[in-house]
Amino acid sequence: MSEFTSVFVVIIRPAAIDIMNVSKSYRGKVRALKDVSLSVAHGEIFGLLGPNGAGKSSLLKVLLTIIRPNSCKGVMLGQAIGDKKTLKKVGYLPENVQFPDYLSGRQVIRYAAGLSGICPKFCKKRESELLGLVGMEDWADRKVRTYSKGMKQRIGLAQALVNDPELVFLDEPTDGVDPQGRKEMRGILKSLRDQGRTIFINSHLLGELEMVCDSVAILNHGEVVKQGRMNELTGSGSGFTIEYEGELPADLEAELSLRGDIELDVSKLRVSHTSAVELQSTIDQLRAKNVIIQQLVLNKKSLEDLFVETVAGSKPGGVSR
Amino acid sequence: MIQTITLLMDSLRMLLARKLFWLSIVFSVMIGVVYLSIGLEEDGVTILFGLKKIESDVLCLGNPEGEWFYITLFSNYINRYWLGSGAILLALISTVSVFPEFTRPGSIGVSLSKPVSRAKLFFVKYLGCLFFVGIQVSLFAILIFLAIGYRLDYWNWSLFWMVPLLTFVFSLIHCVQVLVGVVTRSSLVALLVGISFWITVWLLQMTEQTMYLNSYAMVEEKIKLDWSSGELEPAGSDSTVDSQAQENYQLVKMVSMPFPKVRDVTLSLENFVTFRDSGSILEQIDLLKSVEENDIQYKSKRAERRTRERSSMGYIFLSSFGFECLILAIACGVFVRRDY
Repeated sequence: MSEFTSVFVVIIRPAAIDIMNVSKSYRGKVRALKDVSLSVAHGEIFGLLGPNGAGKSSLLKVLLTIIRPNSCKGVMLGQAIGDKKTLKKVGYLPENVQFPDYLSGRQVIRYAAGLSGICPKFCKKRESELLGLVGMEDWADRKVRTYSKGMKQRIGLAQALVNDPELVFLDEPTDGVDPQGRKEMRGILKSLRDQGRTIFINSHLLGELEMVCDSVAILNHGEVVKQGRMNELTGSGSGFTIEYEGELPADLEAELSLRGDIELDVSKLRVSHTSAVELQSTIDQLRAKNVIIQQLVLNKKSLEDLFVETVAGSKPGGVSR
Repeated sequence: MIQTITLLMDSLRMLLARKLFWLSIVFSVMIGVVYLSIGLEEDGVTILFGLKKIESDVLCLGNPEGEWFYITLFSNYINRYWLGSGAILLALISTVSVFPEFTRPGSIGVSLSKPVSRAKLFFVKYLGCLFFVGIQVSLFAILIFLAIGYRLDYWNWSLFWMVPLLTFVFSLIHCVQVLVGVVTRSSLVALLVGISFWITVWLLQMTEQTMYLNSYAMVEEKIKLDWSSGELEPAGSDSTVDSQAQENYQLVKMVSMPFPKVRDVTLSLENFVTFRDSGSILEQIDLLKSVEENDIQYKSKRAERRTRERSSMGYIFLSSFGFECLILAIACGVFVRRDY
């Protein structure tokens, strides 16, 4: 038997964004960002959360060269922050986006394409795809001034994607978008991620972010107070809730009430452990007594809970993961 | 190149979307058409394409005075009042909001997040504003060119000097509006400052010109103005140079030196847009030749000409251009360094 020496080559792809010590003061008085450090992996949807005035937009603008930081170390798509050429591979939808009202939706996309240096031939093909993607084909040749806020956001998203970006920054992308549009937007974001793009979202709509983000960071008073993978932050669960029909047989109730990991309530019982394997025995016990189980829920901390808990408890100074 | 074309196309779209742009075009076309409608016939002048006729033995076809009249109508009135003032005022009002609107939150981010330098954005946007006057004056120049060519069978290509010269005049005021617009991001403030600046430099130049006339040109011609009657009179052999007036003039000249010579540049059109000698007696009546050398009117005209020629074209254009470059450099610096 011959021996083989296997050589595993591990290719570690650098993060899409890896920044350290980003600080920004406005006129030397208001400290919008205080030594912010964070990392966004390639191909993920990253959410930056924070209360109003936390510095979310400032951080995003630093990365996009719209504002100049007082200090900033790190890279974006392998290049130093501030490198204009890198922006060829970046798309951006600003908060409360305003386009010149003399342009039509199609012209907005062409304008963004032109500034990105995209040749008109490619742009023509791309604009049709994008208008279809954001559902604006029928409105493409109408002036932007006739658009609703949601329609402007859709066109804003289309222009952000016109240069086929590797990294897309979206500042409050679902602001003003109706529920149907939000659902479509989530679908678009997931498909963009599946194409290998990195999405960086600023939002205060936690429910929206929770549904799409792979990882998040919470910014408060210009500091990152928490960051990590979504499932790590919200926890793998704090137990299970089993809802059942009717009442438990008295002997079973007595038996379960003796267990320290179970809390009984009306038509439901809460199991404090998070192991699905351990849960099976409880389910077996219930089923053995013909108890009809209506629902089994893994108790997880919502992003909102995490946000409120973090922001309320955070004091300037540190980051927790 | 694609970026530059995109920005210029955007400027063009912006202009076409502005009502004031079309209003200026309508005025220009109307004035041009009215001018074209004035015709010379064998027995007088017709207006509105023959709708009304003014009989005249002097101002008629085949008579040099007719040509003189037609050209003077353009150079003394249309050129001075519409192109030199009205059209530029409308252009200033129309373009004043370009930079404040461009730099408003939610709008500037899209452009700044693209791989295009801020300086390029600034200068191409500025150039786009100059389109406004360029297009408008070009259209007007074509109409006047056709009118003179059609009416007098005289195809005067020098008329097209109007385009760069009047665009330059516009740019001298507009650069100030741009600076104020970039700093304050307010169209209203930019407009008020721009118009005030225009009036100020105009007054400054008028003052400087009048002071030169009184303290140098008239002294050299040995005439003076009788302030009580407003009449010119001989200064007399015992008259002395008013050194205080000359010092004051030097002070005003020093103050006005860095500012753009808007009025002088506009008046320089007479040097660039030239017309053939019509042979009219009216044109030949030159007070410099027709009256006695010592006549007061002769001296007055010579003093005026001396005043007109007190500064060289090079000085007028270079100092004005220098001012524009300086203001644009400051505005560009603010635009480039600013956080949005």
